[in-house]
Amino acid sequence: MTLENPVPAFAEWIGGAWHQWLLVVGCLAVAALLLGFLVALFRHGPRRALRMTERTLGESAADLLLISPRRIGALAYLAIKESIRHRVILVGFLLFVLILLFASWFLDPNSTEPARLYMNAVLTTSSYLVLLLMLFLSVFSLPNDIRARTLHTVVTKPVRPSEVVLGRMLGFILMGSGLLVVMGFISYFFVVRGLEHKHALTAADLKPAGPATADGQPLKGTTSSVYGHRHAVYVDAKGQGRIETEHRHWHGLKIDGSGEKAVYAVGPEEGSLVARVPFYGTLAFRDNKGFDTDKGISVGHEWTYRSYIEGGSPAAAIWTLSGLRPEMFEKKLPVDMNIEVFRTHKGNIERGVLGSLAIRNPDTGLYVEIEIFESKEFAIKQLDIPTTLVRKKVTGVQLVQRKIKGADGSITLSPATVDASLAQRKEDDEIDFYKELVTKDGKTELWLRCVEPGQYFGAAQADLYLRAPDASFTLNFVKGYVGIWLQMLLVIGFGVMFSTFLSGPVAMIATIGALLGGMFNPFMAKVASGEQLGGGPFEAMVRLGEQTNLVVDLQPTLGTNVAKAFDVPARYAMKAMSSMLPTFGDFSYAEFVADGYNIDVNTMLVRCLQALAFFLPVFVAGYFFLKTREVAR
Amino acid sequence: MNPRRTLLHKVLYLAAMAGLLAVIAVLALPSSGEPGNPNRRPGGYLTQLRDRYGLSESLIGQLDPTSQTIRLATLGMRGVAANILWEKANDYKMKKDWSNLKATLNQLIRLEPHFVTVWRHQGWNLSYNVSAEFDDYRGRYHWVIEGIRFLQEGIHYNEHSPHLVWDVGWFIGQKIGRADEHKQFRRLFREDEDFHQDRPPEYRDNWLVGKEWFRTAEGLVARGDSLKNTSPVLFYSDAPMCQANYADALEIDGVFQEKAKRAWQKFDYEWTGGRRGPYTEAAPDLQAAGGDILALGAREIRTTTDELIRLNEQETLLHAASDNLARLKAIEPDLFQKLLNEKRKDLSPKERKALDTAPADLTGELFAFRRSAMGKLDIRPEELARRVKDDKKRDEARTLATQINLANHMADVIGRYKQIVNFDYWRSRAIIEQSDEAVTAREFFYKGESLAKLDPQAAQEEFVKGFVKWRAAVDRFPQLKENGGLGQPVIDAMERYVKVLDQLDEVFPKDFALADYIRSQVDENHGAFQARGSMAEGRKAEAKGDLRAARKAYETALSSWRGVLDKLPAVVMMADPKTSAELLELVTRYAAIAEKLGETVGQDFPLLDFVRVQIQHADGTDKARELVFSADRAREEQRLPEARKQYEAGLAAWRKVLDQFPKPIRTCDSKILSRLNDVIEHYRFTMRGLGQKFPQPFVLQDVSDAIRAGGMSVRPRAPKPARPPIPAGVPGKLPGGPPSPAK
Repeated sequence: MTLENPVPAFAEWIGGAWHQWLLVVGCLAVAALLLGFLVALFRHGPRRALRMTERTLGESAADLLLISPRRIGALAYLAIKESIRHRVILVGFLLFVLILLFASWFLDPNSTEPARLYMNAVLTTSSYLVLLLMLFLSVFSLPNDIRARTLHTVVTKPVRPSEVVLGRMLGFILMGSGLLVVMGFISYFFVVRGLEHKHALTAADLKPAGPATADGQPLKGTTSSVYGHRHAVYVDAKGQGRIETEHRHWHGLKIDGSGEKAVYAVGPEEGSLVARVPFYGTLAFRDNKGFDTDKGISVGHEWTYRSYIEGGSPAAAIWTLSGLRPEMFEKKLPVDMNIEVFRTHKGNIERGVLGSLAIRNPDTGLYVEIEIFESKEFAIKQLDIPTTLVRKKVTGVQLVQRKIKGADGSITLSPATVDASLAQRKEDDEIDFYKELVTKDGKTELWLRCVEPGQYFGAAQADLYLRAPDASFTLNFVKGYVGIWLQMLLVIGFGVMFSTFLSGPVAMIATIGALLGGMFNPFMAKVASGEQLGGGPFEAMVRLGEQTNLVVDLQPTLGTNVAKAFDVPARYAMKAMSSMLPTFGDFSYAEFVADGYNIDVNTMLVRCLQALAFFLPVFVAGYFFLKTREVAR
Repeated sequence: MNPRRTLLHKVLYLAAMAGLLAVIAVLALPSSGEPGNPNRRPGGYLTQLRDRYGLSESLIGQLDPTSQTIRLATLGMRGVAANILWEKANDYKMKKDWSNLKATLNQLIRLEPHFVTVWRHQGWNLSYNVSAEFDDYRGRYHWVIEGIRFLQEGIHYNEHSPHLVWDVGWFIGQKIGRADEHKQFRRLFREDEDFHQDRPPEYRDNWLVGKEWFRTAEGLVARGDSLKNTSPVLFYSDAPMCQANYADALEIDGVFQEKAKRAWQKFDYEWTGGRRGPYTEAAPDLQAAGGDILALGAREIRTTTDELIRLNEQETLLHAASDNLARLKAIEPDLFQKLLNEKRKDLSPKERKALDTAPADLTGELFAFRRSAMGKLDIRPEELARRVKDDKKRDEARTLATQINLANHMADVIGRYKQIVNFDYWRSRAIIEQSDEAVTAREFFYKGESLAKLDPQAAQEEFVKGFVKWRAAVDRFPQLKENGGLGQPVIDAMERYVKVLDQLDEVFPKDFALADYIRSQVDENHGAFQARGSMAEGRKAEAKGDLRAARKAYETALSSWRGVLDKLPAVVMMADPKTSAELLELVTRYAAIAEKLGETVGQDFPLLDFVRVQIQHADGTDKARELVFSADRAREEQRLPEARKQYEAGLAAWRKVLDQFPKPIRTCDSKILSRLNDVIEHYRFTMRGLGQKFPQPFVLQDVSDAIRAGGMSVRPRAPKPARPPIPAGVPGKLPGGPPSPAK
């Protein structure tokens, strides 16, 4: 799985995030207060303005702090009833069912990764549908009530404006949640049933795979073709069979009888719907001269996600794993790798490029090369490393110091000194992983090297990890829907907030604007920072008019200079917008679920808090905007 | 507005909608039945238009609900959606997310199912670009097939596009058969049950399947579909070329005798119609099996100037032109010579001199004058006809002149079109390859190729047998020498043979069977022509005593020869003794002048490799090596006096070898110097071991001086430690060296 923006660890993130949130919210609050005061000052003079500000602050504090859950519940119930009455939810649900009914037209089960396609399809469809429905519901609800004067009846009761806003939001959230539960339930069965298939295998499909032994005849062959793939089948002389992985899954095999009378029963597919639990490390590189470096070599690929290491040289990709404890991986370390290969010459095309994997203790420098393996691209390569290694079964034991070049050109060795006796092992000596290769604070290093000169390995941080026991796929699927729920929460928040002071259609456009802004937030940030090719919005307009591509320098004409001058404040505005709008894409866990990776508690916690951090100010803003309306005074 | 009025409005709107729908329904009524079916209903007007211009599916059965749905779902924003999807596809490709790339392409093509360029572009993208991203050849093959299947799906939507069908044929033939990993691809293709389904195993060759698709494309064009801008001669050559490639691939894969012969016979039939092949005439079953397949040579092809030609007719036309010219000349027998004499008088003195000079002695300037003179002496038929005195005979002459010009013009056009597909070469190749000798020769080449790595000595013998057999094959058809005499299989075999010779430290045998073909290739090379011109100029300058001009001319000649040798590496290995002698003369002359001018020849000497081979294979080199080898053995066994004796004899033998070459040339090659340096140093150690002084003056003093001048190490090179072999096949464990030694 590609992880371009890894979620930071909660403990590291919360400190900075909390301060930043307080700062932004505080600034916004002060700005809003000042603005209100200035308006009052202009209209009513200083004394009254001060009194009004004081009163507003007092009332707001009471409105926001003395919220009655009972009244909110009643208002939420009203919102739900209204949604049901408008049948929007029903229409949405029917649309979803309709899409799923015909989804098989667009989904290709012959794909090499059908599970990814199916999962992406259901999660994306659910997400788009729910967000659109909630957008319509949230933006038209309050304006309709105000226009139909229903809200006037409500406000005659002892309800606070904050309760009106929050009740409305809560009602829609509950409705959306219910819809998501139903959608999730249907989607789950759609995916499971959609991927279900069985291959046929008969004795005629298998042919001898070598000479017969006393136990019997080893066989090999392929299953029947279903969904555009076949699986290789191997049956050993003892009659034990196995079906190889193809299209990211495999099947169980049960054999009754032997020889031509054998009956082969191929089981249902396994391994496609999983939730791997990766234990990631941090990645650093070593260059071809043996010095530590942040990045490897660029081989000229447009996408710079992966860095490359040179084969047949000291270059290496080094993952440092922290917090390892013996109870985490007791008997073996299951390593999953997804390494890219770049060849500068053809080499031996009948096999992959050879690489080596080693473990090193950062404190002692003890370096144990575990094995030489053959690379496999665009697939997860699994290696099991026993926690008790025997010298004769590993490729090499050495002492390796990392060389760090300082800014002044000085070279520091890590560790500074090594004990040469550590590497002197007899053939039958055992090396205990936790005692000798892990530091006292639970750190170890995994070194990946390319053995063949002239060939390169490409790696990114998420490309190598220790695989803990898999989590529940069903639970992971539910977590995927929680991501959609968080997006829905924000859309409802923005929708209700805009509808407190705008008419329905305008509120809809504003919410869609916020939604799109959030979706393209990373792009906006890049434009604002100048990283994006083609300049700011005004320069882009000039380029569009002149039909000039993004990389060509514009002629320094008056028009171009004016456009570039306008871009300066526009960039500030975009920067401010990108900081204030939530990055919607971050709340989507579709990639995790589709790629078969568990969404960990850290990710969930960070994203939930981020959603809440946006939701709260939006609710408060909604309350104040409603307060400006006559109906809420 | 009162309720009644509102109701009226609603009814009116509904009626208008229903009316419009009815009109659309009538206009767009789908057709039923295949074209040509007497019961076929043509459908509505729009359907008929679509049908006529091949715009989209007009039959109910052809309508693709998926495509229609996705187009409807975009609510008229198809273009925008297609752009977004195209961008997404690019992004997925950049991020190497192949599953999503394929899924996006599937959506994209459903939006634009009749945009043939999209199918062709993305089909190519999958088969050529995506497949190349995979390290494992099985993964590459998978994506090559994905691209082919993508195109096949495109054909379903675009039945009137011969280009898509042609692309499928091209991908199956060329991508599978010409890729670096073609051996693996061809094997996987043969084993691909899902792709072939019911196709019999003997037809599961990529070239044969490719040919099937090319023939289908030809069928579409015959049915009336447009070739658009594709050259017809190229288009119609692909199917027979697949047959040629199939026949060639059979022999590369080690299948010979009848099967290979028949494959070449079939190609001959498909290329020329079997009219010219000595074998295909005796194989009427092939012609019967060919059915209505029209051979490329017999096919009527429309040229860009709207003329109709047949490639087979060039000889007939030239023959007719020649006959008519003879008849024209016979009308007034002395007229032609008279005209020639008149024209010769008008030539400049230099042009006349150029005409009188033997072609071999022509320098660059004279060559240009000769060409200009030849042009001026050309007597056009109408010129001849115009000068006929008798009026009646003049009319006849004019008719003949017109016929000659027309025939020559058509022959010229055909000639140009033939060159596009290398028609004559393949015609000759087909004939030669059908012979027993050629099939046997290729069998020897195959054995040589197989043995090259394991047993170079045996491989060398097989190659030599192969060259002899090929020579016999070519000698049977002397008229074909010009076009296919050497042929690609021999060129490939010769390349491999050169490597084998290099391994064995040998050169081409003096009686190399195809030496005169190498010679003819050298003669045809423009570089050799220029080199000879420069050589002639050099000789003249040398005769005049202008050494600097001679040196300059020789340097130009050396540089031109370098280009020739790069194209024909066999010449370096002395494949053609005549050319070797020619080169040696040049080198000797150049070195002599350099010596006279007091200059040296350095490492940048253009023919360094040639000189090295000459020294390594000069008379006496073997003897010198043997003596040094004996000396080395004696030294290793501590028999120092004997070693000394042998070294001295060896060094003296080397002296004799080097003396065969001009002074500056002897010591210009660092590899030779390095070898001799080892010998000298071993001799020095031996003398030291015996407690004797190194003799002064030394027999190879010039070599020692050159080594010292070149800064070469005076110590013998330490043998390099052998690199541990990388295990093939299943990954194993290697004794990996430490990434960096611990301090």
